[in-house]
Parts: sequence; structure tokens; C-alpha cells
Amino acid sequence: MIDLKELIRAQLKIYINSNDDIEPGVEAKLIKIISGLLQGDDPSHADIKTIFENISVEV
Amino acid sequence: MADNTLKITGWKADGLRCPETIVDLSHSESRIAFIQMPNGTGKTTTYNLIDFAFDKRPPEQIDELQYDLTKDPITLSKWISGMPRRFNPPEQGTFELYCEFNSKALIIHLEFDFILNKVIKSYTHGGQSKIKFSALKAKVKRMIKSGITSFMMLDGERAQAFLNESQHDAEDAIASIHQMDVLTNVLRFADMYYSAAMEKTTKKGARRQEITTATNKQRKAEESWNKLKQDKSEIGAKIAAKNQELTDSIEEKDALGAGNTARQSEIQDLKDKIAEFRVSWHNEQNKQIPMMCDNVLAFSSGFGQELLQLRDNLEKNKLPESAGKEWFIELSEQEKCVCGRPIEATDRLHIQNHSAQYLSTNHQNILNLIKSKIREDIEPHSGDFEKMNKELHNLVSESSRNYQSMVAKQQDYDNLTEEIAKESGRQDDLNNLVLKISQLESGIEDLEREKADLNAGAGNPKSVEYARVQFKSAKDNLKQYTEAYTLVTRMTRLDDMIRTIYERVRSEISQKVTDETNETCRRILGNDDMDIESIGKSLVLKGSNDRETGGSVGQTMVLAYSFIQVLNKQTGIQIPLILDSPVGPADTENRKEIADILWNLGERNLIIFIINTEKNDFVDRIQDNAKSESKEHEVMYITQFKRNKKTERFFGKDTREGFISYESDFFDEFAITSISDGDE
Repeated sequence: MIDLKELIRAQLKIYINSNDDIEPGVEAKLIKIISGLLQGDDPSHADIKTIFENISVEV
Repeated sequence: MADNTLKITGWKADGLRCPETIVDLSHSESRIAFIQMPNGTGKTTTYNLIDFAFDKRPPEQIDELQYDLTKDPITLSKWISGMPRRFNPPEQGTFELYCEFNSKALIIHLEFDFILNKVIKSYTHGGQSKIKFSALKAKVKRMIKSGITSFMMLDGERAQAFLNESQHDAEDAIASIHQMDVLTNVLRFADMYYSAAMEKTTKKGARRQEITTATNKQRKAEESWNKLKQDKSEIGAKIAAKNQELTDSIEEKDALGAGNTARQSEIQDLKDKIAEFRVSWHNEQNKQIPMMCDNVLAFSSGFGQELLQLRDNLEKNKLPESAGKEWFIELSEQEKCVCGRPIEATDRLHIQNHSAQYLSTNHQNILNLIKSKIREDIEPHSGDFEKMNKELHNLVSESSRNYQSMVAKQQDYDNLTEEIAKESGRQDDLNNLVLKISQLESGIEDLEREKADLNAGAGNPKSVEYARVQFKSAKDNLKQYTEAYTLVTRMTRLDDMIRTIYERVRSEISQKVTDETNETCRRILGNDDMDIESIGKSLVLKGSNDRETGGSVGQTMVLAYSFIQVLNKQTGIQIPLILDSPVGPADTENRKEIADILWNLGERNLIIFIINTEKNDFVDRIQDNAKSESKEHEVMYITQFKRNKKTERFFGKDTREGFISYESDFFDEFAITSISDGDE
């Protein structure tokens, strides 16, 4: 049986490792959101906000 | 029972164009249910109602007019208007589909209103009252929304559709069944957050229009820069591919041209040969004819000898000096004979008649002329008769040979020109290739120009450098509004990340589905004839470019079953399989093959609609398989039909419009194929 969450997690790790502007915290937060969505639960505003804040931007 | 297991336990129809019966499939041990229904009694209607009940579209959208029910676009309202029972048509109709989802009862209700021409779909789950789709529990919703239920329904046509990209979207189905939409949903929620945050930011800054313009400008500039970077990274490969295509086309053209040249040269050779043989034939004729005219002695070696013999005979019978005929005529005119006796009238007549037996002077002259001509013209050649005849014979033979050769070459020429006419497409191919080469050359020139533009400096608006400078400028401009800039950048980065991951995960899953489908298919077929190479819109068979067909009906169904089985296995979802006339067009061997495959599908809940003519070699085979494994109790044999003059006798005192039997003997003996033909 394919575990979609694990496939996404593996690809997330690879992506985050090669993109410095994405903080490692994004992985756990996104996986939490995806787990919820798979169960039919919408993500919270706070979780989405955390993801945004874990993407660094040079101004 | 596995998690996420759906089982159909029956259905009930009322007021519709299918038997008004309650079909009960809830027998706990049954896994295969045959539903035998004659043609014209609503078999396809029942099949379509089940299909419609599981349609993934939420009920608020099913009022849309366009609804693809059977692959051919038909309008929902048209479908509904064709649904009421023909006899005594009612204003309403209902169809209830009874299921078990993870051991809990799930009922899908379809309520038809034939006055308003609409249908309302609702659900009952775990003993609740009727609810809308949106009120269903998440697991049930997900099961229906995933689209996996669209794979439950299969007939020969739908199996073929797996190989037809215009009729299917396998890639989309895989993404849907594996719930890949969770990733796009992340983006949907992120976009909602972004829009709200941007709204707040622009209000706060009181320069909403400026920020919006700067944001859009920055986004557009970045998109443009990214696109040009992408173009730059791909243009080398594009040029190389075009060059390769050009080389291939030139080679193809040369080969085709060489073929044509060889043909032309062959034609010229034949023309030359025909002309050569014609000249020789004429030359021989030119010699023969004068020879035949000048010297008839050449015709036959015996002819000259006969003439010499004639002359000898004339010599032997010496001709008189004076001609006799004139003498007797003169005598008959005298008074007296040379002996002095008077000539009487009877004597005179006798003498005149007698004169006819003598040669005249003219005759003598002719005979003498013949003698002298033979002596002068024939006799000198008396030793050459054989030689002359042989010479003429040789000339005629040679002429005949030349004529035959000319005819043979003419035949070769005709055959070749006919062949060339048949292959006239070759010239068209050649012309097309010449055109293609010209287009490729021009395309390569365009690409080279584009490459030069892309690599040019910031002064060229088509260059990557120009786009980079524009983006930097837009970014610098947006940076004045720091908060907005940060939001845009974060949203862009998140969007990039999710899309990249979506693509990588989709590709990984697709590869796993391909590998496992091939493995399953090979196990069932015992060969790799139906191996798939990739999954795009449809399943792409290995070497599909070189194959004329996708495979037999049986093979294609095996592939379709294998594909569905793999998807079920990978997602942990167990769904029933509902088949409509799966062996209708199949021959005996294919029927047995399909029966064995279905029997070996394992725990799956199978519902198979058939007509009585599909029992031979198919139902029989499954019965044999069940017997050999002592699993007869796993197969149900149901027969149902509507009331009709042909079926009236089965109803007895029953006043209902629909008849149903669960008896296997009745199933076996039932022989009505269609309620509208004469079969029984």
C-alpha cells in the first residue's frame, strides 16, 4: 500500500535540503496539515501562518 | 474486512425503466452475483443508475445540464426524461442503492421528479435520516470524491477506454485515487491566507493601488524571467532535436529519391530493350518479305523440283508444230473434206465439237513459254532449293524470336509502370519531405535567432538578462512596501515547492502503478503482451507505435482489471466491480479466460449483469471453478425482468411489475434473451 504522506515527506526533505530559503520547520508543519486534510480536517490559520513565516525573504 | 471497504448489498427500483424489484445481495458469503436480465428489461438502466449513484460530483452540481453518463455527452435532463416506466408512467421514481461501508449501512437515494425533470441525491449512513453529501462523514465523502468509484463499472467498451486517451484520464485518476489533491488543497488554503493578509497589508498602507500594481508587476516580471530562463535552458536541446529531425528527413528523402531514380533507370532500360527488339523484328521482316516476293522457290524445297518435273513432262509430250484446234475449225467450214468427200451438216457439227479437244495456238504459246521460263529461271537454281528454304526459315524464326522478346519486355514495362502507379504515394512522400526539410531549416533558423536573443545583453527586450533586470527593478520597487513584498515572495516560494513535490510524487506513484500493473497482468496472462510503458491520459502499451491493436477483448479486460486491482491495493480501498455483459462479444476461449480471471480476483465483491446467451462457457466456467474449490455458496444466481406478454406466465397471481428469482435452477433454465424478439 502506498503511503502518500511518506512519499510527500521524502520529497519535502529533498526539496528543503536544496532550498535555503525554506526553513526545516516547514516539513513538520506541512505534514501535519496533510495528515489533517487526509482525514478530512481543514488546516488552521495558525499552521498556514507558521509555514509562511518559515520561508525566509531577503528584503 | 480491510479498512475502507465498500460492498453493494442490493438495490430497489420503483417507477423506473427497470424491474420494480428489491435485489438483495446481502448473503454474507456471496462474492459473485450474476444478475440475468433479458434485453429490453432495463439491464443497462440499472447499470447506469448504480454508476450515477456513485458519481463523484457533489449533489449541488448534478443539476448541470452536461453530464457524461456513458462516455457520450448527453444531457442530464434528457437522461431523466427517458427514465420513467413506460407502462402507466408515474410522476416520481426512486432508486435506492444499498451498500456497506466499513460494515456500516450506507444507502444512496435517487429521487426522480419527472414533472420538473430533475433528480435529487441523498444519503443515509449508519441509521441516520437522509442527509446531503456535504453532511456525510469525511471517510465516506473521501471515498466517493476520490473518483475511485468510477473504476467500479466496467464493460468491454470501458476496458478499451483504458487504452484510449480521448476517453480516459488515467493520470488524473491515479492522482485522484491517491488523494494527491491534498497538496493542491494546501495551496488553496495558503492562497486564502495570502489573500486575507494582502488585503490587510494594503489597507494598512493606504496605498493599495500602488502596492497591487507593484505586486502584479513583480509577479509578471518574475514569471517572464523564469519563462525565458526555462526557454534558454531548453533551446539547445530544441535545436539539437530539430537538427536531428532534419538529418533524418534528409536521409529519408535521399533514400526515397534513390528508390525513385532506380525505378526511372529500370523503366529507361526496358524502353531501350523494347525499341531494340522492335528494330530487329522489323529488320528481319524487311529481309523476309522481299525474299518471299522475289523468289517463291524459297517457300518450299519441293516446289522447284515439281516445276522441273513439269517441264520434263512437257518436253516428253512433244507439241505439234501447228495447232490442231484452228485446223478442225477451218475444215468444218469447207464444202469437201481433204479426201474429197462432201461434208454433211452432221459431219460439220461433229468436226466442230471435236475441235474443242485440241490445243489452240495460244495454248501452245503459253505452254512453250512455261517451258522456256522453267528452263531459264528455275533450272539454274536447281541445286539451291534446300538452301533458300532454310534461309527463309531462319529469317522467320529470328523475326519471331525478336517479336516474342519485344512482347515480353513490353509486359515487364507494363508491370513496372503499374507498380509505380500503385506507389504513386512515394512521390507525394518525397514532396512532403522536401517541404518538411524546408520548414525544418526555417524553424532551425528561427530557433538560432531566438537563442541569440535569449543570450543577448540587457539591451535586447527578448533576452534573459533584460528580463532579469526588469524583475530586479520590479522587486526593488515592491521592496518599498516590505510587508507586501514578503508576502508575495513567500506565496511564490510555497507555490513552487508544492507544485514541484506534487509532480515528483505523482511521477513516483505512476511508476509504481506501472510496475505493479505489469506484474499483475503478467501473472494472469502468463506473458508480457500487455505490458504498459507509461501512464499518461491513457495506459500506453509497450511498443504501442509499432502495434496495430491494443490486444484482444480478453487481454484488454485483464489489463483493466490489473490496473484497478493495483490501485485498490495501493490505496487500501476495496470496492466492488460491476460488469455489464463482460463476455458479450467474446468467443468460447476468451469467455473461459475472463471467467477464470474473475474467479481468481479474490475477495472482491462482483456483480455481473448478463443475458442468457452469456451463460455458456462463462457462467458454466465459474460454476465449475466454484465446484472444484467447494465454494458454490459464494456465487448467487439471480434472474429478474419486467412484466411483459412474454414474461406474464412467470408472475402467476403476483400483481407487481417486476419479477425476481434467486433459484439457480430457474437461472439455468431461463431462456429469454430479449422481451422484444422471438427467443425463448
